[in-house]
Amino acid sequence: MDEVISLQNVWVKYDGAVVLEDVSLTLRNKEIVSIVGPNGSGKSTLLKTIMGLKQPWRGTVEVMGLPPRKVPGGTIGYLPQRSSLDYTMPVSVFDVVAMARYAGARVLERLTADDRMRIDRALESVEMSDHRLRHFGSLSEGQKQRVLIARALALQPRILLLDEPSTGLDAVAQDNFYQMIRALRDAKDLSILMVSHDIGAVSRIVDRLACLKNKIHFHGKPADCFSNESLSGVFGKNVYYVTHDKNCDGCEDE
Amino acid sequence: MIELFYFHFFRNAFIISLILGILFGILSFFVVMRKMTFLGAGIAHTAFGGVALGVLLGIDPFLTALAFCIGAAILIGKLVKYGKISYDMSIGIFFSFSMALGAIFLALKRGYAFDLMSYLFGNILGVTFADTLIAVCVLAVFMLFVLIFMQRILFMTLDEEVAAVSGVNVNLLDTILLVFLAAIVVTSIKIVGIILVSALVVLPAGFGLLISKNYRTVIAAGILFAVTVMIGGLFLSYLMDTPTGATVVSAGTALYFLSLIASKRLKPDR
Repeated sequence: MDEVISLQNVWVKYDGAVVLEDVSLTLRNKEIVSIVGPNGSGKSTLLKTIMGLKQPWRGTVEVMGLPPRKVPGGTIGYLPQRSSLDYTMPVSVFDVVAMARYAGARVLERLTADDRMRIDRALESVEMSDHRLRHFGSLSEGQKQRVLIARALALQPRILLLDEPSTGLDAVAQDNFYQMIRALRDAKDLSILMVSHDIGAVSRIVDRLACLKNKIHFHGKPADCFSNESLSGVFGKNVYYVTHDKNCDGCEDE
Repeated sequence: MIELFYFHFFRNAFIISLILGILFGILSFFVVMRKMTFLGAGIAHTAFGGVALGVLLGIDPFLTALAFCIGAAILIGKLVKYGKISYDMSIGIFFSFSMALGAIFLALKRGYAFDLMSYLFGNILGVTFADTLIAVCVLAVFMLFVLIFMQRILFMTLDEEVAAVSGVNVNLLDTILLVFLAAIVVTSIKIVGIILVSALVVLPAGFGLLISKNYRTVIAAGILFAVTVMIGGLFLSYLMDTPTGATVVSAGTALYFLSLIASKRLKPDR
C-alpha cells in the first residue's frame, strides 16, 4: 500500500465554527510530510481527525485503508504537544517508554522479555539508554522529546504523527532532533506526518510540505512553496523566509 | 490497650481501618495524579443525600449512599461534556444539590431521631461485621482492578490523548475509577464521616510524593501513611475520647505537615 494516510475533502467543525475546510492530503509510505501554518490554523485538529479523536463533518479519512477508529492500536505513534503532559508524575524514563507496551489488549500487565527488548531498542534509537532510570520530569526539553519519540517507537508503529515537536528546543537541539527524525524514518521504514509553525526548520528534512490555514493553500515540494504566493496566503504578507547556508549540517543533501 | 479487642465493635473498626488504609493509600495516588481531588470531596458530600434518602425510605443508608455517589460520579462527568462546563463547576452543582436534597429528605422523615453527627464525622460504634465484609469485598475487587489496569491508568494520567490513540479505553477506565472512588468513600463514611473523608483522598499521595519520584514507592508510602493514620487515629480517639474521624484526619494532617517540614530540611531544593 503506497498511501498510508488519505484525507479526501475533509471538513471539521469545532464548536460550530469550521476549522478544516475541504482538506485533501496524502501521506505515502516512508515519506515525511509536514503541515505548516500559524497558530489556530487547524494543524492539531487535522492530526486529531487522522487519529479518530475528532470526527469529520464531511469527507473521508483513511489510515492504512481503514476509518481511523478501526485502525488497530499501535499502528500510529503520536507525539503530542508537550503542554498536554503532566511532568510532575513520579515516573522514570523507562516507565514512560514501557507504557506503550502495556497499552494493547493484554489482560495482565507484565512486561515480557520481548517487550523489554523493544523498549531498550527504542531508547537506544533515540540515544537515551543511559537515562533510563532518571525521573522523566527532570530531563531537559530535548531529552523529553526523545523519550516521547522512544515511547511512540516502542509501539512499533507504521506511522508517526508529531505535533509541534521542536517547540521549546534551541536551534542546535532542534537541528539534532530533525536529523534524528530523518534517520529514524530510514532505519525503521516509518511514514511521518509532522505539524509545525516553523517552516524554515522543517523544510530541510521533509519530502513534501502542506501549508494550512483552515484549508490547504499549498501541497508539494518545499522548494516550490517558497516561490509560491501561497506562503503569504498562510502566514501573511510581512513574512521573510530565512534559509540555512551551505555550511550547516545536512544542508549539502538538498 | 489490648482489652479493646474484646469488643466486637473495636475489632470490626480495627479491621475496617486497616482495609481503608490500604484502599486510600492506593486510591489517593490515582485521584491526586488525575487531579480529581475536588471530585473526591464532591462525591463524599453527595453521600449525605444518599444517606438521607435511605433514612426516608427505610432502606440501608449504605446502599442508597453508594447508589447516590456512583450516580453523582457519573453525572458529574456527563454534565461537563453535555453542558461544556468545567469539572469544578459541575462538582460544585452536584455537591450542594445533594446536600440540599439530604436536608429535605431528613425534614420529610418527621419524628425520626437521626444521628447526623455520626454520618458527618464518623462513629466507630456504628461499625458492624457486615461493614467489614463489604470493605473486604471492595478491597479484593479494587486490588484486582489495580493489578490489571495500573499501567494503563498511569499512561492515561501522564498523557490522555496518546493513551487513547495507543488503545487505552480512557473513558471506561475513568468511569470505573470514579465508581471505585464512590464505593471506597461510602465504605469509609461510618468510621471517618462524610465531611472528613476527602482528607484521606489527598493526604496519602501527598505524603508519598514527598518521599519519592518513583510511583511504586509513592503508592507504598501512601499505604503506610494511610494505615498508620487510620490505626493510630483509632487508638488515639479511644485514649483521648474524641471522634474517630476527626482524630484520624487531624493526626494525618499533622503527620503530613511534619513530613513536609522534614522533607524541606533534608532536601532543600525540592
